[in-house]
Amino acid sequence: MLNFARFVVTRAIMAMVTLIIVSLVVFTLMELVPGDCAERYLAFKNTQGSTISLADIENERARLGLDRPFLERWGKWIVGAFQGEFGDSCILRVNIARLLGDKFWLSLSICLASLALAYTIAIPVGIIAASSNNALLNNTLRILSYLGLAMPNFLLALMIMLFSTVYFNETLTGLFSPEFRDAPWTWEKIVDLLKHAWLPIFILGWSATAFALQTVRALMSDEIGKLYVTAAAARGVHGRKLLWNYPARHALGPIVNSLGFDLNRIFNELPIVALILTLTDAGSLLIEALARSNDQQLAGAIIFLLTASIVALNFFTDVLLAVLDPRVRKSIVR
Amino acid sequence: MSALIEVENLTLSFRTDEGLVTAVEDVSFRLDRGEVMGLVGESGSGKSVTAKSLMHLNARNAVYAPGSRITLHTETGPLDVLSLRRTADLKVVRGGAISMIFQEPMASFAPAITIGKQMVEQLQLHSDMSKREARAISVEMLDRVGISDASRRFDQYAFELSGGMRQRAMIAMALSTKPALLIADEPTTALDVTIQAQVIDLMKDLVDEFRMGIIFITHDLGVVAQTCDRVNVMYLGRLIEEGPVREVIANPKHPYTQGLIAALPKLDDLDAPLTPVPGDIPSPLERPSGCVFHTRCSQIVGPECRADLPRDTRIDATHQVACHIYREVAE
Amino acid sequence: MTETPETFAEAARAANERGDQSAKEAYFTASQRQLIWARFKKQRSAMIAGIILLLMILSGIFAPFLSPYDPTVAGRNKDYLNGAPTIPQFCDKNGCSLRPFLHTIERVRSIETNFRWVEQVNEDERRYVQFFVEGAPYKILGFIPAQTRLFGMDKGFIHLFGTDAAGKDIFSRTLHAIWTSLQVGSIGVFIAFFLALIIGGVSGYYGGWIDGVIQMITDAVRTVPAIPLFMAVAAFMPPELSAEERFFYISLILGFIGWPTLARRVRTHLLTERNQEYVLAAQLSGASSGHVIRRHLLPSFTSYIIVDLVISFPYMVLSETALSFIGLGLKDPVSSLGVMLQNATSADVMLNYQWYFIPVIFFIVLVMAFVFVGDGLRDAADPYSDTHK
Repeated sequence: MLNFARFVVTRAIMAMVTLIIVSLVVFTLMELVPGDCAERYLAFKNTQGSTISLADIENERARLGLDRPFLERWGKWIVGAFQGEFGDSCILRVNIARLLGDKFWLSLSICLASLALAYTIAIPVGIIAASSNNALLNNTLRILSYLGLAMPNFLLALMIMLFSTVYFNETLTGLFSPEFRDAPWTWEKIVDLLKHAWLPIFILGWSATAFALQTVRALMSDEIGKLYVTAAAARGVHGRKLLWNYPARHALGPIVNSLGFDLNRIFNELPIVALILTLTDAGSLLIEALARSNDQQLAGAIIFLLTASIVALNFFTDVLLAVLDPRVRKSIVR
Repeated sequence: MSALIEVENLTLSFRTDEGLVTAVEDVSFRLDRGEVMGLVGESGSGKSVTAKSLMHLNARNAVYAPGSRITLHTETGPLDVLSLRRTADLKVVRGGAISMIFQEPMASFAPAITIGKQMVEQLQLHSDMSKREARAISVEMLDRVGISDASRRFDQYAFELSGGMRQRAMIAMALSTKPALLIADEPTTALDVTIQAQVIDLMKDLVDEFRMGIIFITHDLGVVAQTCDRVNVMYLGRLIEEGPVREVIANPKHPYTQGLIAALPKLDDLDAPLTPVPGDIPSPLERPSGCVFHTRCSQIVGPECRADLPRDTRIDATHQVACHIYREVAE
Repeated sequence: MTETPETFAEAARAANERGDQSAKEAYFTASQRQLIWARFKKQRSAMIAGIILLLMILSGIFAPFLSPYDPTVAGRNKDYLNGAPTIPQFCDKNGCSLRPFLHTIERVRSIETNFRWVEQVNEDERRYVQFFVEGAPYKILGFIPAQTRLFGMDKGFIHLFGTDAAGKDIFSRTLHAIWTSLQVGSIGVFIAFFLALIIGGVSGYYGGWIDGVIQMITDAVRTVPAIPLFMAVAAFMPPELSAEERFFYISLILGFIGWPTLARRVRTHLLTERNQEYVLAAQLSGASSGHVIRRHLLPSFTSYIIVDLVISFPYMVLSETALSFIGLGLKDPVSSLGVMLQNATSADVMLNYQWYFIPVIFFIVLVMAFVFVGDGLRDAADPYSDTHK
């Protein structure tokens, strides 16, 4: 037990280190961007009619601490980031944590829901496909998988919208009905959210399912071909017991392991799908932050949060794997 | 002695992208209770496929030719193994009447399930034992095969055991259901030489104790000489020579068997050059016409070697060979 | 190519499967590339995809020749904005013709149309399709000047896929967009590969703590979702960049973000190959480290690296499209699928101008062809693993 705790702590530290490296990359990128926060804000003010002098910029820099050395500012940023505090947005001048608020959790939930959807479909279908030699089933799944890979989610979103506009004269956009958009959280609002959220979840889950199916099927075919399965069959183990207790059980580890990458993939699709469906979650906020206002402070925070979610998921799957797989578990205990 | 299993005209092909590939052709033999039979041949000669057929265990793309018949004589009467379609029915054969141990003990245990759990599962499948009884028997079996601290090993995983230990555990598991026939598919090939000897000794002891038939699949004539009563030599899916071990080794008739024995190093004359069988095994996709061995044979007697399948010829009551040389003599 | 024990064993195995002596000889002397090709040819779906891919690449290269008009505003049909596709026909109510033709479309404005310009088809006036016409001058691959185009009209315009809001021919734009995708993908893959080779190479060849540190950094970078990061970087590109400069930067960023996965593959190849016995054998017979890398290590996995490059190609293309689509990637006048779809989300386009979506089909075919070919190549290069990941 003590060893297990040590393992968990080691993994947690490794996750932290990963995040620190990521934060360095993100922070450096934010720094490399031409123009800093002070200039940007004041340039923005400029367009609002106030005149800005060089001295104003210097003052603003000092106020924001931008005149401090790079490492010091990075240190400050990362310490804040681990506490969920990202400072103020460059242009909106609002606390980023407050600005993101529910939006981040909302988009994370949508992504996790599509991940869950993907694996709920992929695990049984993939296992059955791998264990059956039905050519029709296998070829259909193969083509569906390839379609899922080749048809990027944003195209799928476009197609669905095209279809629904042409046939139902209704654009399926947004996450909330207008009356609930700024309303406090109530039961009705949750129901309204669920009514709208199925589409982004489905669209994000589409290619995630394709990937997951391929993963599950490949891992299962690998396991089914192994000698221990033949050996178990030779002992008289048969039917569902042979399938689920042997290859399926052993393929589970690598499947759990691939969850982090799948979440990464979903995050890649999120902003664009969100833009098309005009969802007001972190995805489209990210685009706004980037494309509309070049808000590096906000962009950095969003990327850091997305990465942190992936790192956290990886941490959980590592621990889960250690619980599930005796080979890992025993190597820890020893 | 009564027959335990009879194989008649077993012909087996695999459906592949390149077409039907014949792996075993017209193989017939019989094994009596308590008899130890060696099945010898190079890799690709069809010995493992033949053995797996006894449990109807070949891959899904296997096609048995219509005349093939495998009869297993169980306590309740003869059983036509190949006619069993459902895996649930095959339970009687698989792990019940017949157990099999494989070349790689590491790979034949499920890596994430304890050895004990797999043993108990097998015992419960083939009897109506309680978990506790099954555990007691399993631990006892592990103890019998010489695994020290058996009750601790019971709860361990295959990767925690040494190679020799794993094969012992595999043997313990295979014997725990007291099968009438044990198929050992090159059980010692993956082991160190010293461990090999231990495992072979162990198997010999257990054979005497349990009075079961064994089919010992190997390419190692030395192992055969030590363990078997009778030997079947296979080449490219066909049985080419069959007889008592001593007789076949001392007096091999088929040019291929002679070649195999000549290829063995001789301990009494270490300076004698080794003479390998010339050439390579032809691809199963392009089976030679006539005698399957003619492409590598140094004693071709005439065009019939290329044209006609040699018939089995009896040398004496127990020794027979399929080669044109002996047909001439007989006629 | 140097014969390595690995290919040797593989060759022997393959030859054993085949059996006949001449085939065996051929296998023993075959290079790794020939072996991969031999196995690739056996896969029907990959071969079909390969042919489609080749056709797409050719149509990309010869896009200016195949397309009747310039894809930019220079080639626009200002009288036919948001125009529906015009499909040549052979017959009409006035009889049939061997040469395909179109009817003239006239723009009229009258009291019946509420004084708005409305297009009307004049079914009595035919315009004929002509082949190998002299059109606007162009350059194939950017340097071979030419003027002949595959087809055109005797008078007026032909728009197989219709026109967009500026009157640009969508068919011509689609062909050019394929070329753009191929270019962006190639540059991106090349840069990613270059970085991967250096980083993965150092990591894999030296091993030890250097490998540990580099792997940690690579893994950390790999966890960052690429598209948001890409967006963050692309958004800060100065807006005053020209279209060509933008194109260059986008490819550059794609390459810079795409390296970690490739670097990992290079490292894995190197690590496994480095520990092969033939490397030890070469070292024992006195080969220098440079010789080992050049003559043994590199040849042993170039084929695998090429396969990896093909596999990563479609992701580059997808990323570019996604970025251009949200307005952070390429911009007009460069033709790219993302650019062309930029305005397609509006309800107006969806309801009235569905031909905007025709290029999507080509795009999906292109990506799928790449994925199939990549999969086929991988299976051919590595017959022992059929992992489809």
